[in-house]
Amino acid sequence: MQQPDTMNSKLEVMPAPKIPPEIRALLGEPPLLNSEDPSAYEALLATFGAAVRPTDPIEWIHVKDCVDLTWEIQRIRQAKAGIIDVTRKEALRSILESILEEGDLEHGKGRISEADLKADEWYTCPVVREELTALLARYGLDEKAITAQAFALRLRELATLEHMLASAELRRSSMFREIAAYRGLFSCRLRYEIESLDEEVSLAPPSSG
Amino acid sequence: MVSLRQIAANRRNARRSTGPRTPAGVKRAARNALRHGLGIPLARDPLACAEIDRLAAALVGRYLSPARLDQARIAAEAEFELRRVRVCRKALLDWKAAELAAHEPDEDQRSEPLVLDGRYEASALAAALPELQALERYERRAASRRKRAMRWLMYTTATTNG
Repeated sequence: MQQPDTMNSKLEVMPAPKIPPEIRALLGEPPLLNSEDPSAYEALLATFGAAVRPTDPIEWIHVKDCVDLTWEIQRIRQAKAGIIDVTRKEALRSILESILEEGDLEHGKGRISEADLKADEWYTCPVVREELTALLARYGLDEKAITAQAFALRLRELATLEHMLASAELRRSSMFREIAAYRGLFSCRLRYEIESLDEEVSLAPPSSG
Repeated sequence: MVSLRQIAANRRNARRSTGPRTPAGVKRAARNALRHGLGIPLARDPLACAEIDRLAAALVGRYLSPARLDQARIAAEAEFELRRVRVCRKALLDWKAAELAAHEPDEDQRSEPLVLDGRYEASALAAALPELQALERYERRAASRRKRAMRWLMYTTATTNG
């Protein structure tokens, strides 16, 4: 029975292949925004390299494309969440405009101005935040309603981003299939060569003596 | 199979096109793609040509033939087209994010804390959606050209006797 140490050593992750300098020169610069972290990109490239172990420039180009598409997919997903976050204040304001009553108007302003002011105070004054939470609860609403309203306000952009996300995911899947098909061709050829070799051996006349 | 009646209807409808009709208008519209530079052929850029040749030689590998080199050049050119689109996208988003950051009020005037957690990038992406959709069309076309050429190269690489 194998000792756990031996089994564990066999399960050790093989080190990621280093990208040969001549391949690195062919791959070009990563398409990173100024705010994005180059080391995170390199880590992703190393992860894909370790998983696929590309053997020639054709495979490396496909792997890099998969990495770039994965990066783009992550960017779009983060953007979707970010858009909801930046719209939350506007969403809260629009909800308050519809539920504020005369008795809730403290500053002697109209409903719209009051809603704007209170939406600001949600972020700066914990006391006001508590009051507004109670006000929302009166109408069966909570912070999830703010998120939902944010979604509704940015529906068109979110739908476009969803479409772009689906397109990037489709192209990435296509890259994986291309690599698999390429390797499949090699394995078919190998099988053909082996079978041809088997036939030659079986057809060879028996050696005399 | 499309019927003759459908073909005739399609031709009638196409004549109702709202695009430019005069020669001057058509000529002006033809230059639209050159405004962002993506319509300019890479072959006009000597630096890009040298890079394309280098990539094509690497893709061909040791199985050199005129046909393989042709396809490798097509694949390499499409690859550089893709990179050009991605550089455009990066420049567009960086610019939009910088614009948004420049318009942000000072800290003491802000009602909510400014958290540099990528929200500029999110807003930049949202603001640039029409341009990003246009870039995506270029990207898909270049990716499609590269895929066709690469498939041919991959097939001949896998099946050529070395």
